Amino acid sequence: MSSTKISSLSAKAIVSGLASRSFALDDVIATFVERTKKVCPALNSHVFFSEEVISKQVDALKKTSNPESYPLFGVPVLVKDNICTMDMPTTCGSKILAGYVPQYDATVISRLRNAGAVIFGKTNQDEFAMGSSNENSAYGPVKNPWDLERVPGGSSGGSAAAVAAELVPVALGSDTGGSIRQPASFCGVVGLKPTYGAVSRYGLVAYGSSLDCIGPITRSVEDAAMVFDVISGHDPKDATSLHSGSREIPNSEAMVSKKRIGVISELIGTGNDLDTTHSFKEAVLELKALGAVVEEVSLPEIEYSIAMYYLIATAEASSNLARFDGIRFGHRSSDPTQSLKELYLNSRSEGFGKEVKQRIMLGTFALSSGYYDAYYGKALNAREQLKSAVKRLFSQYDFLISPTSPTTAFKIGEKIADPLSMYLSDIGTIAANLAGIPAISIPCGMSESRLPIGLQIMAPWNQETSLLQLAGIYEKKLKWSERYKPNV
Amino acid sequence: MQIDAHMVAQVAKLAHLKLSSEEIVYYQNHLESILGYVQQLDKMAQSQQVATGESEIQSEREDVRRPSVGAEQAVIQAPDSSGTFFQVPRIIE
Repeated sequence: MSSTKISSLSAKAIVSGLASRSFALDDVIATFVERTKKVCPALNSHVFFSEEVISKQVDALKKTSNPESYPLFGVPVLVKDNICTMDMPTTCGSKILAGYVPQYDATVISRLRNAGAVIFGKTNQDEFAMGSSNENSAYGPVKNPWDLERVPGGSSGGSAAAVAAELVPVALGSDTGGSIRQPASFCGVVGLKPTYGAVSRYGLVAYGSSLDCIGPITRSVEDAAMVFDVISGHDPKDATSLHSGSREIPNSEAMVSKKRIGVISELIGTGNDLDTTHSFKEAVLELKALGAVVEEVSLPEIEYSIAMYYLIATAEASSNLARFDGIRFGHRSSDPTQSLKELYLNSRSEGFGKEVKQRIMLGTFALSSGYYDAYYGKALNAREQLKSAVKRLFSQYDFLISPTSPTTAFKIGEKIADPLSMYLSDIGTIAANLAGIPAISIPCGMSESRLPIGLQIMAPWNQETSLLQLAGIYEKKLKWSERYKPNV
Repeated sequence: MQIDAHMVAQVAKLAHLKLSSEEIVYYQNHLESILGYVQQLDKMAQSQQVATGESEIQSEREDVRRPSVGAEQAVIQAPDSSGTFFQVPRIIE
């Protein structure tokens, strides 16, 4: 099989191709290594890539006696740079962690390795996952493979861009307010944010601990399900980890028939661009054609979700990022005359970027004496109301849907000077994090200027199986990825 | 909400950040605009329920002794260390 064809294969096809000896493990690895070396410089999608580290993993895999028992045997997987890997640096896209190599693997990494996956490198991201465009990285912005002048979305922009450009079939991202789904939408790939607690966060560098989730970014729903099956499950190392079973995906269209799907009316208004509105309407028609009952529902609390998010996430971030002090790991200011207090201040001020400092200060303010009740307390209260409203909707509907993002990928530099306008681009995705429900973004259309558009499907807590079933059936009907490919 | 330069400096101090005068102006403008936006939460009726922000999922581990990373490994990423200790500037003159 030619290297072009191998790079287009899904994870599932790679596993079965290796099992049937249609091609060899060395062919797979060489294909993706060569493609990475060729395409990565244009995208700036990676912050770490080492053929030596890859070779060591491949050599170990070759010694296994029964490769068929490994569900991801030989599948190259890229990992967002805020997930700890003991054989590669973990910088979170920040200067403050430049060169930092963790002493342990995150649970998701151990599970991927045990399943036979090859960790293929670390992907660029917004610093500490704070951003929606991947422009907040200390290592430069990532470019969207569909249009190199546009952002890939964020914060898991490197992961989404790399999967779209066929540098790997699978990448991991993290999602605190939409950071898997929004870049998946902008890059025309599948992005799954699981139920809060379904995937262990042990080894994920924390941003907003009550919101953070790790999930897969792939080019097919089937691959997302395969990876989710490997990385999910209870982990005693994460106190918020859920117990859950295995998930199989039947392909029956009958599953959609008579399902009740609510379209969130607050997310289909005038804030969306025309192409997004058009593609979303087409998606609704497609779901109706499959037999689903689709109707508009109101979730007025969602209008306040960005306000809730930017108080809760930043409050948690201000606490989580207090650990970066220049003493135990990461950047230390080099002034030999500084006192201990000055060392903290200088190390943090030199190491953190602009957006991270802004969010730390916003969170510090929201938690400070005299403002706690008026800001953080109010946001927590509003979040509980949003959760209750979502619960009520799921007593009447099996799924909720919306466009993943109000627009297609915007130009690099277009929104960076106006943080509020950037924050507003996450209006569709944040509610799923605040409520803790699973949500997926899958391609549903293409704009006139050839930019991908994503459909978001949300399901009740722990209903990943039915979420992936519906997404898989819709994907098979639309055949989006068979029709479109970026020219990189 | 009006944010003045003094307030930005105060918040930066609490957050252990040192800001230049240009940065104070920059964050003053941005924080004022963001805090103005989040005040829309005032329009939402507040429920009587007290939210704590704690996760509903909290599993506890058994209180048993386990091996840890060890002192040699713990200091390996420290910017400055001495033996198995983290090195910091002198605190007592």
